[in-house]
Amino acid sequence: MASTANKGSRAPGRTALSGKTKQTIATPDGGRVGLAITELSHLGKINLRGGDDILPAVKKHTGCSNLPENNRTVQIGERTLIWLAPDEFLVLCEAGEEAGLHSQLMLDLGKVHAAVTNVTDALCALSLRGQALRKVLAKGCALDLHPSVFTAGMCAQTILSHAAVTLVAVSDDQFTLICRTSFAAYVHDWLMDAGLEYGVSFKG
Amino acid sequence: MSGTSLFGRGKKDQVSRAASGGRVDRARPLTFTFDGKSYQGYEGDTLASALLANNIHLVGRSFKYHRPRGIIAVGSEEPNALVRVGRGAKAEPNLRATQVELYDGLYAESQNRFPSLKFDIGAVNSILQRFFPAGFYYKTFMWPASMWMTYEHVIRNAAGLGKVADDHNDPDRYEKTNAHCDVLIAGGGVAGLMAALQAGRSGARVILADEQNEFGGWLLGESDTTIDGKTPADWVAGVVAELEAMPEVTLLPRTTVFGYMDHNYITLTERVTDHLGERPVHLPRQRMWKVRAGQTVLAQGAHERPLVFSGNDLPGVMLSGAVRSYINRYGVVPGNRTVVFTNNDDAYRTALALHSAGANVVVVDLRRDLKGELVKAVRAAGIQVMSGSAVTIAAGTQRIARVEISPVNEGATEVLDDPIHMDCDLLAMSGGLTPAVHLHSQARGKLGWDEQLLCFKPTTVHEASFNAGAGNGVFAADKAIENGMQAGTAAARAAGFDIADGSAPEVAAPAQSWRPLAAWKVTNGMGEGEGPKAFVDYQNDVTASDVKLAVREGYQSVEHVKRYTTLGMATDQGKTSNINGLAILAESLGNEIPQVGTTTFRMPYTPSGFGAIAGRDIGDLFDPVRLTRMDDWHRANGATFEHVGQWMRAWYYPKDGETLREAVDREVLAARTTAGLLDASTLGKIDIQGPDAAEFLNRLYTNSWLKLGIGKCRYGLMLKDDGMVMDDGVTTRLGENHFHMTTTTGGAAGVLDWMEEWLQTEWPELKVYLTSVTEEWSVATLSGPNAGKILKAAGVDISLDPVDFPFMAMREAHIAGLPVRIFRISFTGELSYEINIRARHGLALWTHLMKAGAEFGITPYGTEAMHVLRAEKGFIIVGQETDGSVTPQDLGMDWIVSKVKPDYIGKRALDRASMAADNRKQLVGLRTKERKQVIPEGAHAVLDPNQPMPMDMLGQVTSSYYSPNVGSSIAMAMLKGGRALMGGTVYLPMLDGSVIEAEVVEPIFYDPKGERING
Amino acid sequence: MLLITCPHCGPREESEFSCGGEAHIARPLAENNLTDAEFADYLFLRDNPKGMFLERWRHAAGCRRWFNMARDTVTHEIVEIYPMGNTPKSKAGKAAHADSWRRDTAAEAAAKPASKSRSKQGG
Repeated sequence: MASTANKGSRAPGRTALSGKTKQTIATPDGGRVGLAITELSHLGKINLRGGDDILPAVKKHTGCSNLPENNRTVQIGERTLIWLAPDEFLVLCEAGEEAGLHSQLMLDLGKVHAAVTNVTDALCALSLRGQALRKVLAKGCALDLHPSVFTAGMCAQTILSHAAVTLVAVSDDQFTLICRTSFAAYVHDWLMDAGLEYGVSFKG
Repeated sequence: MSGTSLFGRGKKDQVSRAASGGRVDRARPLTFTFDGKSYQGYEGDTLASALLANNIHLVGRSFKYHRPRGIIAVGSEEPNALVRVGRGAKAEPNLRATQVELYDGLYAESQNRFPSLKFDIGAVNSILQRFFPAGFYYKTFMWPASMWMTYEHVIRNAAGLGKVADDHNDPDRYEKTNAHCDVLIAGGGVAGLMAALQAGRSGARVILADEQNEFGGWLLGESDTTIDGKTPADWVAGVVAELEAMPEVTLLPRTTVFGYMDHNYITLTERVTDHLGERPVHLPRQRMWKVRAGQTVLAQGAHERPLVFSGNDLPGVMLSGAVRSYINRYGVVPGNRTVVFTNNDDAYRTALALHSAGANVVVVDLRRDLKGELVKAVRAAGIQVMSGSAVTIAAGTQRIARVEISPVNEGATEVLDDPIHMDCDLLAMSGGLTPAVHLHSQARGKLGWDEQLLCFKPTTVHEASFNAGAGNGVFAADKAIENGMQAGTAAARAAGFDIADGSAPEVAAPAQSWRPLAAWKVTNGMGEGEGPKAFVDYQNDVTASDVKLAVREGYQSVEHVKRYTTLGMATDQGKTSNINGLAILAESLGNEIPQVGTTTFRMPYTPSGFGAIAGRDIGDLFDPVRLTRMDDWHRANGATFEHVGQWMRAWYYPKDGETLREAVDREVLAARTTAGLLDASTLGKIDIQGPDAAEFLNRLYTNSWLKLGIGKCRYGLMLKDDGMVMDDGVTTRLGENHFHMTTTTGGAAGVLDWMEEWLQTEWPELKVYLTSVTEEWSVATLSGPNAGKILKAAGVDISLDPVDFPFMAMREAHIAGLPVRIFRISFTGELSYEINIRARHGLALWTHLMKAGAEFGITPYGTEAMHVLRAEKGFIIVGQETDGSVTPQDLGMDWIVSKVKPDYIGKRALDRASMAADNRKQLVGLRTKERKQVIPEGAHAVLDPNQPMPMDMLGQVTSSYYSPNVGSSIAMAMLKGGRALMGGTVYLPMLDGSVIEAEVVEPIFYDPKGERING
Repeated sequence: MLLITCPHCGPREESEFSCGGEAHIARPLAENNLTDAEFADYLFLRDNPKGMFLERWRHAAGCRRWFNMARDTVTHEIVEIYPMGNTPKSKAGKAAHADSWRRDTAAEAAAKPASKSRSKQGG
């Protein structure tokens, strides 16, 4: 997953969850928390729409030699391509790089029918880690999240309780969750409540 | 029963507890309270077994007649023993005592009694029972209809089941979870366990759910059966251990599979901590599982049927199998002088169990020719067996005390000789077994009548499902275990897993016939309806006579009889009563049972609390609240909020105790005299890219879009294809093939979906891509004569001269070094800038503008002031002036409808003859005669306030405010033929009888020539 | 609750989808002169059959793509899922499409440009 280090020199501004307090709620036995939540602050996000003819430009700027198949992601270094729909992808890139990447893609896709939209501030990305991760998500998500079904490298747009989310399985016990920033507080609150059974923390 | 029982070597306060045996832990005594009195039971008890251990049979009053009732069953089929458990906010009514696990400190109360269980005033209903026949409520309370509400109130108080918690703030946690599996097995008796074992061994993902605290089902209550040479409990322990070791098997004890829906969507309620006295705070009390199963195995088991005879509802009359379970599983012997009344072999096992426990036993069997090993064993034990006989009447006051036993004919319809009388304290009855087909039936599986077993059992399935064990009509343990194994194998294979057939464990059990005698209603030797009542449905207080009465009154359909008599309804769903009721109905109709058919079993199998169904969708998590990035400032500055869709928007900012009206007046005045600042971030925003983007907009909006210049904005009205206004907003051309659209706050998601629908389904040839950017941009709208000065003070780096930056244009610029898009559009009629900035800087922009505008008296305004400002200018709000039945012409907005475009959404519909009717509701303004008077929104206008009611109404007031800028009230209304009424007077009758008089005017109240737009 | 196989995302819960009602209702072009009554067939009349029904669905919470579905409204069996712009291939679906009263309406004929008779895409 792309790093979130802010490389821009300007003030980074606020994130969707800037106002939320860091906290850890352990289980009564005091064991490790089953779910640890971290906001991937300012992770760059570009919504990309187009057919197969966008590949050369995508390859040039992400290193991905193929567009991801349905329900899959492709990760090359710090950049990840997430399949959203037959002609729609979400590109994750280093924090602060999104504006540059956006302009370059716009330029290189000038001749083909495509849409490049910077949605870095529209979407909130959370890193979710822990042994109980899939159990907690199952409380609000009807997707089959079994580790043999929703394997590392898979993604899905779905619903978590009452919020539309994109889930990306990074590994067996690590997901990236992406939602609209206006739903981020709800998703945070919901996860903290649903995770209580296994111990949960929000690391900011 | 007197103080000490024959075998009572247990504690004094558990007089009916055997000294040993059963699955209770005598080393762990528990104290509980029932109806205010303290008792003791053991770990492993249910409330029912603990009450019986204390020789308490009377546990409730019945629904309609308030008759004393006792525990008759041992599981979820219990119709009588409904109790209220817990106190205060944690109290829960209507729990079956047979399913409530005992814990230390458990507090339970009986229901349906006043003032006490033993003396109940409602029991007068029982004395007046001839006045409460079938359909009593329908007959009595139907007339007059206007009184129904009153009757209902009285009935609900007098009857009804238990009382909900007095304090509704349930402090417990609940939750829902989703799950997927290859094979879901409902029921963890031997059949279900074998099915789970087979499916689990195949590697399939398996969920095994059972409503009891431990797996094993009925066999946990048998002492005469071994499996592979082990006791059932030991065999079960071995199987459970093997299942627990399988990573893909989920075992869910204390979990009721209560609903079976389309495509194998199954709902379960897990009682996670109900059985604990102290509930851990991090765990939910109950959890609802929503399972999508590839295949299901339904191994729900069977319910024993009562026999229908006079007095069969007295406490101390129990089901035979239940009595056996209480003895063998719980070490409780529920009576000393006992009568076993049966029409089949199975009750003989109960007779033997009672005998072994030291009780006196007499067997009364409706059958004449008795044969088989069990009968022999019973006779060999010295137990008296009376064949061809019936218990014709059971008598007693609050507990069975004696029975009358008579020889009867084959169908038990005639008494053949004088009765003998016998004292007793327990009657164990057995009317044969009924497979629990509830889930199969919910899933629309078909049932067939088994002539041998006299029951309905599953025939064909509708979903991907298998039936197994007693629920499949396979009652013998050896056959049931085999059947479970086959079902598990078949289900695993159907789910795509490989598994060998395997061989079923060896079961050793007494040989018995499972065929009961067809004797559905035992006569008491008196006329129909005379003598003590014979109940069919205990929970709904339906008697055999009620069913017969319904037939005499002309009811023939089983579904009608069900509703007329309430047989098999409500929480019980006919578990014990279904077949007896059908048989009596068939007999009365002179028909066969299969021809009468059965009713449909409904969800839930047993009631499921709303807590688990709501899960965590309560309180703050009930519905998402969407906040803008400037929200922190609004809160810190005392804003009052209103919900707009899921958004929370600043409504107004009261200062020093201002009222809504005072605050809004101040905000509205400021926006017209200096400048106001509005958080408009919630407006929907859609990024539109592609070579056909302009063409697409041209088809979407009623006006022309092809020639809009780059950097220019245009207002558009979107119609549905029926010609009615659906949304509006300003769209800006960012580049040749690139547009930025804004929609209403509430309409954002709908408009994007709408556009996608047309692109994907109607015009796939158009090359256009849409992306929502609503949250990407925070929007601060700066509006008022000083807006430009403030923007300059804020350091904007472009010329604001109207020549350089005209109205309806967009400029990219920087404010304080941050890039912004500024749209010169206006919803107030004032000089106005909608400043868009990347959301991360939204709050910074807002505070920066507030600081820069301080010297000009910049005033933040909320949605209420926004509404007033736009109404002063006569600008509509979609959803306020419109309601899905309003055309652009109705709004007087013909100017925005192209006459030359070949097509757009809604064009043909606007040409319909009916759209030109002159009595359509049209937008007008209203000027009240009493100038300060504000008309309530929603008020209806009439031409003649003195006409009789119902009045001929013209239409309604859609927007109405006090306008401090105009110095009077202003209002907009949609009135029939409104424009023809211009200059005329309408009247608005109020609820209090007063009438507001208003003149119909143009819907614009301020700056009609639009001279303020450049500041 | 149906289990619907999105042609792009795979099997998902019905709650992730929105149903767009009857499929294969061609939109008359404004350039074609239909009477109000003929136009009403398109604008207002919708089928609600017991049995096979051809419907439009959208994977609202997933890829947001529209598709067609042939579904039995009695058994809830999903017989076929097929792309927008296509007609059904299953026997039951084909029959339902061919037997629809819409095939003979002026509204359907008016979905094609008056002059040309190019085949039209779309649901």
